[in-house]
Amino acid sequence: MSTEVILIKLKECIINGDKGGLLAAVDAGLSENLSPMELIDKMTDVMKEVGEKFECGEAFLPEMVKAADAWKVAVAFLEPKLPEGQTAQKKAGRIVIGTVQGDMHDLGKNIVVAFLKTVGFETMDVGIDASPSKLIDAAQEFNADIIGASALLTTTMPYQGSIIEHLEARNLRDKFKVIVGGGPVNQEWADEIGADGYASDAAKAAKLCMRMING
Amino acid sequence: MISLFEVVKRAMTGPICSEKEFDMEIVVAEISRVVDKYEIKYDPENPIPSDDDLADRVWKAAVEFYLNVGTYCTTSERRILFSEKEIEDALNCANEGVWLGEGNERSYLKYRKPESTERPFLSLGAAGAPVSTEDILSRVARGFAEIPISNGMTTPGLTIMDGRRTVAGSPLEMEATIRNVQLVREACRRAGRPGLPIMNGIATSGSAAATIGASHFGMRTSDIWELGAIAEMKVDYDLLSKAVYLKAWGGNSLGETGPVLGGWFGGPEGLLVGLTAYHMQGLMVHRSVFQHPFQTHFKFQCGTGRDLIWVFSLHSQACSRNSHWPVLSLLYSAGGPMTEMYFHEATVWVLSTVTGGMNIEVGGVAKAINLDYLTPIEPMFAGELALAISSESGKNKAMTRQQANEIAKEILPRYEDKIKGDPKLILGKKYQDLYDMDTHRPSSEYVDFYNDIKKEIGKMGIKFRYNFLS
Repeated sequence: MSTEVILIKLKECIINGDKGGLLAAVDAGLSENLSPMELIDKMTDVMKEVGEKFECGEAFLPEMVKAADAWKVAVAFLEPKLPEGQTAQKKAGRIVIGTVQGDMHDLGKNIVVAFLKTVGFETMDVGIDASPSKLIDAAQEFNADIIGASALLTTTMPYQGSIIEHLEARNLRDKFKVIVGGGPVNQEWADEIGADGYASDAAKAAKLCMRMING
Repeated sequence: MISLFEVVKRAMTGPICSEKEFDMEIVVAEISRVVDKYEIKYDPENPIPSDDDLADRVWKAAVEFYLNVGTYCTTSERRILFSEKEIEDALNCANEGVWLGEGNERSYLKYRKPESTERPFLSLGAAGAPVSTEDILSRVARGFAEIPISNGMTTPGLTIMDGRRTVAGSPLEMEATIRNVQLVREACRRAGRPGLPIMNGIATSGSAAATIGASHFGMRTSDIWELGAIAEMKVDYDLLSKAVYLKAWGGNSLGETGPVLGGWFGGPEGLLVGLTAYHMQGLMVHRSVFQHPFQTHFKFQCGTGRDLIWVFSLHSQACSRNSHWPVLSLLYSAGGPMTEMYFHEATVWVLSTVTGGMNIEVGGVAKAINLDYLTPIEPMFAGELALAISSESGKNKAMTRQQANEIAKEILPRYEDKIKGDPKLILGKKYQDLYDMDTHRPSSEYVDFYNDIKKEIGKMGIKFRYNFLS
C-alpha cells in the first residue's frame, strides 16, 4: 500500500469511526516507514477537519465521538512506539470536565469533550451532577491543567463559582485554570466568579484551552 | 395502557447497558438506520412541506425507532423497553385532550390536525426565562395573564431572591419555588383571571423535592407540571418519582422534550425522527397529558433556523396525522423584545407549527437565558397570529401548509443569517425599558413598533382580528 493510499485510508477510518480499519492503516503506515509521530500528526489533522465539519453543520456529535474514539485507540497503540521523551500529547494538555452539581444536562459538555479531543487534549469526563469536590479531586488525580464546568440552568450556575471557592479553600487555586460554559453563562458571569475563561461554544472552548496551555 | 408501576419496574429490571453504549451503539445506530430505511431527507427549499407521505414515513420511522431503542434510565443504567402491542395500545388509549384551569379560565387543550380551523390552545408566557426580582416576576406574570386570548401561562423563573441567586438543590430553591407559585397566582388574580392555569409548574424548581414541596403552596391539579426528558431518550428516578407523585395526587404533567440539533440524533432528519419518538416516551414513561417539544440548535440555542422550522413542521404533521394525543409546541427565539428579528422568527415558527396541527406555547424569547428580556407583547403577537391563520381565518378555511411555506420562504432570509451573528445585537430591550413601571403599560415606542410589524405581516395575506394595543 502506498503512503498516499495509507493516508486516505487513515482519514476514511477516522471519519467512519472504524477502529479496526484505523489500526490496520496505522500498521501499514509503520511498515511503510512512516514514524509514529508522523502518523499521530496526520490523524490529528483529520480530527481537526472533523471539528471544522461539525462547526459548519456537516458533521454532528455522533461523528465527532466516533472519530475521537477511533483516534484515541490508534494513539494508544502508537504511543509506546514513540522515541523516549516524546509524547503524543506534546501540543495539548489535560482537562477534567463535568456538568455542575444539580444539573443533568450533558449534551453541550459532550460536544466540548469531543472538540477537545480533536485538538489533542487528554480529557477526563466526570459526567453530570458533579460537585466541586468531585471535579477538584478528579483534577488532582488526573494531574489536569484545566477544570471545565458546564451549567445549563441559571440555578446551577452558582456551583461554577463554588468550584473556585473550594479551590481557594484548599489552596489549589493556582494549580488549575477554571473555564466555564453553558446556555445561560456569559463572560460577565465568568468574571464575576473569578473564572479564568469562558467560551460560548465547543470550538471556542477548544481554542481557549489551547491558548491557556500554550500561553 | 401499561401501568406506571410496570414502567418503574422495567426501569429497575430492564436490560443493563452503559450510557455510552446506549448513546452510540443503540440511539445513533438505530436513528441512522430508520432515517435511511424510510428515506427521510431534509429539504431546505421547503421549510414547511406539504408532503403527507413523508410525514407518515416519519411517524413509522419514529415508532420503529422507539420500539427498538426504548427509554434509558440513567439511575439504574437499564433500558425500559416496550412491545409493539404495548406502544399501539398506549397510542389508542391516549387522551385526546385535557381540561386545564378553573372557573372562567377553564379551557380544553385538544389534539389538532394539519390545516385545521380548530382553535389552537395558546399558552402565553415566559417558558421559565429568568427574571431579576420578585417585582419583575409579578409585573410580567400579570401582563401575561392580561392577554385576553391566552388559555394558560408559562411563568418566568425566579433566579434571584432577596438579592441572592437561588441555587438548585439548596433550601433557597425550595423557597424560591414556593414564592414563584404564590407570586404568579396573585398576578393572575390582579389581572382578573384567577383560574388561569400555570403551564410550567414549577419554573424555579429542578428537583422532585422542590416540585412536590411547592405544590402545596398554590399549585392546582388543573395546572401542568414539567417532566423533562434527559437528552436523548433518557429519564432518571427523579423524573419517575415526580410522575408517581403526580399520578397519586391527580396532577397533570407535560412530556417535555428538548432534543438538540447536532446532538445524539445528528442532523435534521435524525432529530425529526427522535423528536417524534419522544411522543411515545412522553405518553408511556412520563405519563403526561401532552407532548411538549422545543428542539433547539446545539450552537445557537434557538428553534427558528430553517432546518429546525422544517423539523417543527414535519414533527407536527407526523404526530397530528397519526396520533390523537395532543402536542403543545414551544418557541425558543434568538431575537429579544422589540427586535424585528423576534417577530419574524415567531411568524415563521407559528406558521410551521399551527398549520402542522399544533397547539402552541410562546415562549422562550432571546433564548430564555437573559435576565428580564421578556414582555407580554412577544407571546401576544404569536397568539394573535396563531388565531389569524386557523380559527379566525374566515370562510371556514385555515391557512394551508403550502401558503405558509411561501410566506416562510419570504421571511426566513430576513433573519436566518442573524442567528449566527453577535447575540447582543439581537437581544432587544429589557421589560423595565419597555414598560411603564407605574401603569404596567408598554411604551408608545413599543406599541408603534408592534403595530408596524403587524402591518408588515398583514401585507402577506394574514388578517389579524385584534388590536389590543391601540
